[in-house]
Amino acid sequence: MFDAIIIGGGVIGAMCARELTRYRVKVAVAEAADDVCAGASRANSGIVHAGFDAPYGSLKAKFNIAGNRAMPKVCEELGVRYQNNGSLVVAHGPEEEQKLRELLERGLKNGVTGLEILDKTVLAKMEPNLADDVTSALYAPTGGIVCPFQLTIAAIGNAMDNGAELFTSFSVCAAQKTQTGWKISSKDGRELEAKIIVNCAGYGAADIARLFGDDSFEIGARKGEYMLLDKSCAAFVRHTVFGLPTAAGKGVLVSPTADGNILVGPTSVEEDTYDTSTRMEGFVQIREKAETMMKNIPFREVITSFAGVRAYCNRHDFIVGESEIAKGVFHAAGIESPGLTSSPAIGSFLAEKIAARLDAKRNPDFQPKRKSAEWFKHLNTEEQNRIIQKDPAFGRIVCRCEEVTLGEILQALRQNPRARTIDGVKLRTRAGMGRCQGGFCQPSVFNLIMREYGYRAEEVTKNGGKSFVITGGEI
Amino acid sequence: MERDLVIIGGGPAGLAAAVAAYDAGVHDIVVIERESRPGGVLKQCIHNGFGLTRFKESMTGPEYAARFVKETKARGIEIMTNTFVVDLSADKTVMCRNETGVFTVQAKAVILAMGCRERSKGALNIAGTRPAGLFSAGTAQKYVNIYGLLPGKRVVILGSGDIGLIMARRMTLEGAKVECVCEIMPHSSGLRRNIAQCLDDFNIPLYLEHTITQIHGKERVEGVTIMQVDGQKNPIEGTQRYVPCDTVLFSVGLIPENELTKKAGIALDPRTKGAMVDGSRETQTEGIFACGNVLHVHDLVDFVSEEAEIAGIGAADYIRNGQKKKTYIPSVAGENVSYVLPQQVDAASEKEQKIYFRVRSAFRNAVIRVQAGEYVKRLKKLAVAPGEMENVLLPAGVLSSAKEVRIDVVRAEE
Amino acid sequence: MEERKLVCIECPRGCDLVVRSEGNQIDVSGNFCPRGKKYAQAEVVCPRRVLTSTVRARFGMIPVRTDKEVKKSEMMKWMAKIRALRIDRDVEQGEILLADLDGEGTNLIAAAAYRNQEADNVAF
Repeated sequence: MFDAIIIGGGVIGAMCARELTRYRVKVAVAEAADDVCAGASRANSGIVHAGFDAPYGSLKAKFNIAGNRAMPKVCEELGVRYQNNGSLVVAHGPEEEQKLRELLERGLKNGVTGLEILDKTVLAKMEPNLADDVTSALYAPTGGIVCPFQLTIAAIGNAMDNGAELFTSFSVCAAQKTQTGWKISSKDGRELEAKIIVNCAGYGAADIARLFGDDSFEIGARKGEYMLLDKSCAAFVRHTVFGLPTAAGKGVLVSPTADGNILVGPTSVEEDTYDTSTRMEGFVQIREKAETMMKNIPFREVITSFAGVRAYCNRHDFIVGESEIAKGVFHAAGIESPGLTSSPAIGSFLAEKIAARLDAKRNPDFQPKRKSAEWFKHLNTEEQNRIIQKDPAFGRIVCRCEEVTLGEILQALRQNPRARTIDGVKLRTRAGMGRCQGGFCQPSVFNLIMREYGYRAEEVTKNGGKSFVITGGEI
Repeated sequence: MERDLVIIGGGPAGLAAAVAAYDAGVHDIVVIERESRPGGVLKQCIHNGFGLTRFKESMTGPEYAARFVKETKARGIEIMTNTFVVDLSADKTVMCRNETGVFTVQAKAVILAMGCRERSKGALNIAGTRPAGLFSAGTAQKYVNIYGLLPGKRVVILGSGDIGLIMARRMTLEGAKVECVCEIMPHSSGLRRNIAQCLDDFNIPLYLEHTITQIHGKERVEGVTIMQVDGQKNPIEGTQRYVPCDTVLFSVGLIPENELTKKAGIALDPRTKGAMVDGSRETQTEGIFACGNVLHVHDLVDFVSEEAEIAGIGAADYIRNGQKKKTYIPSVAGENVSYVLPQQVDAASEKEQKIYFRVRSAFRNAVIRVQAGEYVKRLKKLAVAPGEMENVLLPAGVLSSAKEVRIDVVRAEE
Repeated sequence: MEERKLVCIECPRGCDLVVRSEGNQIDVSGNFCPRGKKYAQAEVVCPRRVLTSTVRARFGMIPVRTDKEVKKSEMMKWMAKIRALRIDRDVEQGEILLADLDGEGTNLIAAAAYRNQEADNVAF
């Protein structure tokens, strides 16, 4: 029996779990996939938005501003890469400049600080590769970038270190009211019980809500395709560069990532199903749109392309709070952009509400810090040497493109939440995320997973389920 | 730590360079190798056909590598394995990391021999899903030949690079069905003999001017859409064909691994994606040499060894005698030539010089024209292809009055 | 008279060969060197190949090859024999792992030395 079960191991669920463990609350996280961070949190722009875009008075605006302010400290505590690089919305000519001024005003009303509209001469110094016909831009110095998978994984890991339990491959298919709360069942027949349910199921949030009798909202899928460029072009762009937002969202952006690559995308395609396949026309659209904002984008240096599915809600705002229909069920649903930015604020808001409901006291043993996945990388040579003397595994490079050591991979296999797939190791350590895309290190990571878990070769998966790496068996 | 010569990479290039430098009188050498054993990628190239040009016998990769390991060991040259070079600077400080810690080696000369990597599927922007079962051909080769695991049973191969062709045969022999090899160009990028003995021998079709336009399957690959392409490599509408498979191998090119070269600020040639070098394989940074696939991608290891020896001798000469005064003239890639190497030659050199080059497109009855000042030479060639590196020998002394060396490849007049 | 076109696999040059055969008379043209002629003559009568593969040892795989060419048509048969082989001892390069693989005196030999210890074979 848990006090609260969070359904969904994405960044929202992760932040809710972490914030709840600040209280004396027994927390479980139920994730349908075989690893956390499997949905939109895994494939998004990684932007910490300043907050000028969301409508004044909306939950989006409120949580965006609060999340933006909370993010640096959260990332510091969790050892997650975050950079306050600032953002630019570019305009071409007077008509678009008028829209910039509207954005500026909305931003000021929302409470965004430091906003200003910059002219061409200033921009040329800040971002020399902007397209020649860009006439001015809205500069938001509070904009930032964060590694979305590290944030998600670290927050769940930290929650687990503080006592939360994680149930992966737990695909919730039924819910039943009990005397004290709710009982949920998974497709594979497992059952969990709690007083409070927190619905952070992303694209699946409306389906989950319906299991509890709440059909008050609908969730749709919007696909976004991206192209990722090699680190060697890191100097190409410093700020996150947006075009003007449209009805379909913030549109294509060109931005450095917290990991030092360059990200170009996303497109925006309405989908009937959860489909993360990419399309040729998507790549064409990305290029065309990006080239209206920046010139000479080094598309030759693409190392991978991918797509993520964002959930969007027919209510056009976040749904955060207790269901009016199903008592004891709290929603964090319809969390489209700026969801990643808002996640720490949504987490603490809901945790406070739920703790009050449970009459739970603060947890004096809560430990906000988590050992960063990259603690070793940040040491100086002398300190690294001291560690290597004690644990030679940190002297062995496994992924040469990202310089990931054996020690770091073993940490990912053993630290909460433990990686058990090729992608799981990749998201935690960056092994396989570099320019060779795992060409050299994948067999090594494969071997390490096999040894750590005692798997047979045929059991190791890329990404859980039936995504087996080897299907031809032993030769 | 201080050493006369540091060689980065213990594959075929690094080992041959070490042996040659030793024999040229420099004995204080260390070869730094990131893997647990020397030999580089040859360790997993279990097929035969290596050494035909150089040793006039057909060896497997491990046998070819063993020959050089033996030569290295016979000279007492140190090979530091499981050691990764983290940084290199133009003053020849080499920063390394291994199980003993992070340390630097100060060298008098450095030879870059880091080899190359495969161009990944990610660089291709193929539409569709990203399931398990997509492998670079070399990664699949490692699974099969080092780990003894067969990646899948029904295979489509994109790209007709040699590793892909070799893997088509290897996986067929291990019981997989290779449905086809798709090559976007109108000609194969692999050696002709590999088409014959790896595809034709097993009735595996090679579809020229075809590419994969979409990958299907959620968890594991279930199939690919292949399409014919036009002269601009654009897929031709209406030629879509679905090929069921559980595995896709990508053999779509090799890229020299020059991350360290860039860190040291050494000038690169955008065409070869390797350093710019002179006849002794010295880069434009004094005392740093390069050879093998890190310099330009070779199709035969025999030529890697040959080039590595040039670099080894060059480095030894530099260590023993200091920098010579050189009078550089550029070598120019002329008509139908994609690149020439070395990019500059020493006009004052009294030695004959071999110039390597690749052609842009394949055709029969070609004439190679070499021009260096007054010196003009024409060589007939039955067939040329981008997949096969060519070379010409410039006799000693012909460069003294030349301003450049130029190579053109033209069609022979009927 | 029968005419066949072949690509010579003897060396990387890959000569285009034309083989004309009539009875026992086999004429070869297009070859750059004598090896090409020999290859083409053998190819039309009974194609043969050196077979390379790996053999499973206790702590890894040992690369192997045949010391002579085997009949191309029988390669799959010999692959099954190679696959069934297990090694649990040290092996030197060139050592015969399977004598007379094909009944024609062709041996299967190790292409690399192998040490039968885990520490020597854990690959990263």
